[in-house]
Amino acid sequence: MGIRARHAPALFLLVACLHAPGALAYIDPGTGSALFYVVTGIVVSAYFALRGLYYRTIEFAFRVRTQAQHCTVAIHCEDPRYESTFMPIIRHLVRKGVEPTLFTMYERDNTYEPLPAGVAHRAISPGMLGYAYLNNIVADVLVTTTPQLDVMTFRRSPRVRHYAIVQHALGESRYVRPFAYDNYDSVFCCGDILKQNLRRMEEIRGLPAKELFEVGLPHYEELFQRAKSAPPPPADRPTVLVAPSWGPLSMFESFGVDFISEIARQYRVIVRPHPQMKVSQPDLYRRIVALDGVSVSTHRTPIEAMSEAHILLSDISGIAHEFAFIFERPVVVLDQKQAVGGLEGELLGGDSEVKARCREFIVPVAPAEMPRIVQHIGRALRHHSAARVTEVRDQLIYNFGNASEVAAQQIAVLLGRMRST
Amino acid sequence: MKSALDIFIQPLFQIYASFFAWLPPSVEPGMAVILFGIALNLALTPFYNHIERGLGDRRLKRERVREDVARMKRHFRGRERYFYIRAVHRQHRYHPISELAGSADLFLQVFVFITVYHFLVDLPLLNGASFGPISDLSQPDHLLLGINLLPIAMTGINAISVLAYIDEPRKRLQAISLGLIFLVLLYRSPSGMVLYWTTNNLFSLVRTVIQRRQLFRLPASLREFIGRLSLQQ
Repeated sequence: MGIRARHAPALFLLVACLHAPGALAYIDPGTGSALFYVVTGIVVSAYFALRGLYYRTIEFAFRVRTQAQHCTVAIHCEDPRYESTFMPIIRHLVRKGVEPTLFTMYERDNTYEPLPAGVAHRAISPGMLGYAYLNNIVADVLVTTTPQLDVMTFRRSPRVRHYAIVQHALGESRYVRPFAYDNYDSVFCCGDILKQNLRRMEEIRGLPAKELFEVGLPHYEELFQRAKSAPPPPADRPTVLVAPSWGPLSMFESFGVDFISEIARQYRVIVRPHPQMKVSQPDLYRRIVALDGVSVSTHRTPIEAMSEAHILLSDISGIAHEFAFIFERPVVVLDQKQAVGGLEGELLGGDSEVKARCREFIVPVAPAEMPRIVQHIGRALRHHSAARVTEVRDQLIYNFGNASEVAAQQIAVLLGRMRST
Repeated sequence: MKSALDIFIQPLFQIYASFFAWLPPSVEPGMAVILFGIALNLALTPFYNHIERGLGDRRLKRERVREDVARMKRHFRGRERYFYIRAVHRQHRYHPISELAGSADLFLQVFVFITVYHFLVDLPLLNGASFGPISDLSQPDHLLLGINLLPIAMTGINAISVLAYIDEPRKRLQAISLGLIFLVLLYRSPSGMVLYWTTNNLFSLVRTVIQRRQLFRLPASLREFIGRLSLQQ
C-alpha cells in the first residue's frame, strides 16, 4: 500500500470529525483507537477489493474449460528441468496401470524422451494463461513440483480432489518463498528435515496437518543410473569441476576468473558456467570460455562434467547435493550467507540443518578463504570418505534409488482413495 | 430520516431528563452535570468492559496480522506483495472489513455519546447557571484572561489517559493528535458540556488505572501465564 493509502484513514477520520458534531470528542483513547481501526478497515478493504477485482478479472478473462482438462492423475511440469523428476514416476505409474496426463508449460519436441504408451500430453502456455488453464482442470489427483498453491496465480481447481507436491531438490522448506507448501493436501517429502520443518510451519501458522509421505528424490535415480554408466574420472590427475551459479552473487562475479587459473596449475579443471550466464552475463561468459588450459562444459545436463570430476567447487546447494550424493565425491562450497528475509526460513529460525549434516563432504569455505582455495580443495580430497557420504545420505534422503516407485505407489494409493470416496 | 432517528434518541433523552429531575433541587447544575457524567459512565461500564474484551481479542489478532504484513512489505514488492498479504489475511482468518463488522458496540457507544451531546446543548438548566469560578455554564468558561481552561483540562486528562492506556509511541501520537483535534473543535463549546466531557475523560482515566492496577496485583507467574495464553490465541 502506498503512502497515500496509508494516510487515507487518518484523513478520512479528520474529515469525519470536522463534519461531525462535537459529540465525537467523548471518545476515550481506547474507543478512539477502535474507531480509527474501523476507518482503516474500510479503506484497506476497498483497496484490496479493487486490486482483487483486477486480478480476478484477468483470471476470468483467461479462464479456459475444455474436455482436454479432464483426467484422473494430472502431472504438472512447469519446466523441462523437472522432467527428470516426473519421467521415472510416470514410467512406474504406467506399470501399475495408471495412465496420467502430463501437462507441460513448454512444447515437447522429439529431443525429449518419448512418453510411455497410454500417457496423454497437453502442452499449455507458460505463465498466467497456463495457470488459468490448470486452475480449471478436472482430476482426482494433481502432482506438481511448483510451490505456492493458492497463493499467487496457481490456484486450486474446485474439480481437483487432491493436490500433491513432489520435491525436485534436497530442500528443507527454508529457502522457499512464503506459504510454499501450506495449501497442498500432501507433500512427498525428500527427507526427515523437510518433514519436521513442515510440521513446524503448520504449528507456527496454526494450519491443519497435511499428509506427509516419505518418498525421497525421484530425479536422483536418473542421475544415479547415468552416473553408474559413465566412465570413471581419469586417474592421472584429480579433476575439479567449477560450476557456480550466475548473477550478482555468483562466485565469478565476486572473485573474477583468475582463481580458476590458480586451480588449473595443480588440477585438471572443467568449468561449467550456468546456462543463464550466457544470456544475462555474456561478457563474463566469454571470458570463462576463453580461459587457457581449462575445459568448458556446455552439455544440456551437468552429468557428463560431474562424472569426469573428482571434486566440485560451487556456490549453490542443488548441484552440490547431487554431486555428493550421486557420485559420492567431495564438494567445496563457497559459504555465502544466504539471506532468508521473507522466506520460510525466517520463521523457522536457525540455520540450514542439511548444511550442518553435510559439512564433512560438502565443505563450506568462507569467501575470505578464496585466495587459499587450492589448499581447501586438496584438504577436501584428502579427507574425503565415500562411506560417510552414503551414511549421511541414508539419514537425509528417503528411499535413495527407489523414490520414483514409492512416489508412483503413493499416487496410486491416493487415486484409489479418491475414487472410493 | 430525522424522525426515524428520533425514535431512538427520544427515549434516551427521557432517561437523561429523568436523571436530572430525580436529583434534589439543592444540587447545583454544575454538580448535576458531573453526577450525570459519573452515572452515565457507570451505566455504560458493562459496555466498556465488553468493548475492551472484544478490542483485546481483535487487537491481538490485528497485531499478529500487522507483524506478518510488515514482514511481507519489508521483503516483497508489487504483485507478489499483494498476494502474500492476501495469504496472510487468509491464514489469520482476518479481513480488514471485520474491523467494521466487529464494532457494533462501538457504534452503540458513539450513538449514546451523540445523544448526550444533543441533550446537553439544549439543556435549559445550564442557562445562566454558575459553577465555582465559571459564571455561565451555557457559555465558554473564559477562566484565564479570556482563555477557556476547561477544554485544555479535558485534553490534558485525555493525554494522561493516553499515556496510561497506550504503550506504543506511534499509537500514543495518533491518540494525542486526535485529542488535539477535539480541543480545537470544542474549544468554544459551552462550559457545561465541556464539564461533562472532562468528567467523562476523568472517569475513563480512573477506570484504566484501576484495571491496570488489578492486573499488576496478580502474581507474576499468573501474569506471565495470561501473557502466554494471549500469545497462543
